[in-house]
Amino acid sequence: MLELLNRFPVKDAAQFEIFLQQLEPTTPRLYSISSSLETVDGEIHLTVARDKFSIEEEWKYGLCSDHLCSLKPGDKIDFYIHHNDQFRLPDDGQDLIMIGPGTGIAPFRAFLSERETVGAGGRNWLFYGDQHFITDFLYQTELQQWKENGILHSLDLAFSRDQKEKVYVQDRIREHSADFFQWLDNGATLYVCGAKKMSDDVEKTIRDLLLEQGAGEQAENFLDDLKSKGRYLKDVY
Amino acid sequence: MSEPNLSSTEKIKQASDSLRGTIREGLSDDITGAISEDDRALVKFHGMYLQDDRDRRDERAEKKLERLYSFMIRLRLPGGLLSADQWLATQDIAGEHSTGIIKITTRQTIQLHGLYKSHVKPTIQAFNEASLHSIATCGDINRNVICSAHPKQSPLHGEVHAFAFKINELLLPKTRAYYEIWLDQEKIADKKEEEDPLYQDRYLPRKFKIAIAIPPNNDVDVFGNDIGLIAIVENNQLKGFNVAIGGGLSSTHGNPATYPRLGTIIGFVSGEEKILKTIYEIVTIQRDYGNRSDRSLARLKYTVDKMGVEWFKEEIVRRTGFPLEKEKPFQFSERKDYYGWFQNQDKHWYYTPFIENGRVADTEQVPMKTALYEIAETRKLNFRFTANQNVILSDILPEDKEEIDRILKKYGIEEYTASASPLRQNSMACVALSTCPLAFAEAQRYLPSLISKIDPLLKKHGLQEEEIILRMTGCPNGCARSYLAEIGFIGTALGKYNLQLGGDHAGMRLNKVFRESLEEPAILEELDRLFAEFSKEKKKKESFGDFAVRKHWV
Repeated sequence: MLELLNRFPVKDAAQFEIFLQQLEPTTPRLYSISSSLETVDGEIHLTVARDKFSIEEEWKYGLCSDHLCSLKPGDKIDFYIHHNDQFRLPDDGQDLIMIGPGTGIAPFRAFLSERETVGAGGRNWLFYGDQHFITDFLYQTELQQWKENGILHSLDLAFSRDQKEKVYVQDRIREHSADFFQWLDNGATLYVCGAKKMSDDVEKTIRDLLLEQGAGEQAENFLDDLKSKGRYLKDVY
Repeated sequence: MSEPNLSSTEKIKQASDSLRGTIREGLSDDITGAISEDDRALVKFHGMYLQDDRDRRDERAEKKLERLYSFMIRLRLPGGLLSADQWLATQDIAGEHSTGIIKITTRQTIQLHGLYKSHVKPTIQAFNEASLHSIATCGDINRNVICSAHPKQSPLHGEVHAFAFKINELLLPKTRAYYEIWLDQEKIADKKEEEDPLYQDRYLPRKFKIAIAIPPNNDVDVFGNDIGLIAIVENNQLKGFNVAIGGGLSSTHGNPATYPRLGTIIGFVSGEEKILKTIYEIVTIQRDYGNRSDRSLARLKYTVDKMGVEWFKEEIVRRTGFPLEKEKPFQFSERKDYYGWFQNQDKHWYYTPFIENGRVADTEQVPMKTALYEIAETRKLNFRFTANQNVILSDILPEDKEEIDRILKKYGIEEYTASASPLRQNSMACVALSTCPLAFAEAQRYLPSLISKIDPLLKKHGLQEEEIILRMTGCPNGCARSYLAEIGFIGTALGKYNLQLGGDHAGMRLNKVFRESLEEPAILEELDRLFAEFSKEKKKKESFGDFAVRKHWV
């Protein structure tokens, strides 16, 4: 906004009055909690990417993510819990397919952590991706541990910038489509968390795969059906 | 022979299906940049070490990222020879897949660092395109065979050099694992095709190093090798080789059962067939009698001392069927590289630039990498690496010399080489931190700055022209042969070094520890004092190492 004012200065007072009336209070930023009270009682973990963008060739940072990233241990912040009764773990015995690239991994880290703590029997399959394996593999050592001890049945990774051809989570779904639909046929719940664009791409891939398998009209309704049964849940931004 | 307690590495080798293990599976496991512990032992035989950036362990652990794993890959270059095209390929590969820096090793080859797992296979395939490979350049097996580097040293250099290739061929493993895993060649149908009468399924108890020296230059440190061959030339004819066995420089801090040892000359052998047979059987004796339960006591030197030199000589005769002759006289006088331009008897020209610690990079001081690339692009030379971590621009025809000289001048290489002090020119350091898992202290990242502080001390005492051989290693394993230096630094902890004195110029005498675990100020203080005494009391032509022994400093 300051950039805008700099570029288009408001000169007279009346105009400035109108300008001020247009402004809204800063809206709260919602973050998925990436920890489980079952595992770490009294703690809330967040997975925050410091939003970085450029205006006029100058680097700018997101208001809230920058604030959070500049905090030091011991600092206090104001927050409230925004309840989301949909995006929850199903029964312990049910299988989960989780698609959460980037910070979209947040709720799934909480899920996996809780399932490990309570000893849930259902199988867990995570699709994760980001730009680079070396620097952007969030919770790598925890995920390796969960793979090792069997909490994570499958972990499929897509690091988009590590090779010439860009690879995304939906490409991994395609590679494993037989197992993917088998899990869903067996009653697995499908979760998607992360960028809106990614979730659209994932939905399109699922539809395309069904069409390729000759599902016809059913392909269009597949995800809606799942949704109505409470077995397809999205948390996208 | 059955050994009661085979070391874990021995079991891994024997169970590895001829060095295959689960390397292939490990490469496709994309949740980690590492491979399994067992496979880490096996990839050494394919020329690689899995390492990690030790500087970044804490930071990455905090980020819940695993260690920053990467591979080091070392090429097999018998006698250190590489064509211009191969150099260009290597620089291209280094830029695309590794840190971009080429490290010339102390054993006449080159290695690349920082290859992430997904880059290893493309790297090996690209090397293969350039007719280069990394088979058996690490691991418990015969390593790169080295040979006195400079062709001006002898009219017979080519003839002697050819033995490096012959011995190399003789002692390569038979397994096809390298070709299957890295080059996607088809799995062999009949296992008999890769039966290995030399290495069997257990390979050697430990690494095995062979060097060939052409007197009077002992640039290869022939007595620091499991087998050292000393070329005997009479009347301009190669008569054969004196054979030394049981050299090796590694030891372990705090383990008195381990020690550096110079090779023992056991005789002379002539004739290609007999020479190769003798070498082959020395290797089989080590295979059969080397210690396979304790790796720190597994080098040939311990086998020789355990069984006795006389027994060893007799065992060689039992296996070869012919006796060794009495050793022939020879004389070593130096171990240095010949910096600058030289011509050999065939009128070919040779230029040796100074490359500090063998790191070919573009630095603030000199754009060595750019210069060598441009020189290679002329395709009018070969590259020969030296055991002192340098390269000799080789086999340049008289009519091409000017063109190459022009590039050397353009990038200030000649000026840079001439400006390096004699101390710096005669120094070496191993890789050490941050990637070598064995290092206790810095070496190649630290030595250049330490030399900048030692040089003024030499100058202060009028000793700046002394060609003192100084070497530093980050641990007592001796990759940069610090036990054979006149001034040796052996890392004991971060910032601390044992100061070793008393090595000679020709590499015939090990140094000994003079002071333990010194930090830099104490190092400089001691050297200042020693230089003062040396300057005052040295005899004409007496070297610093000889003086140290005469003065009973060690």
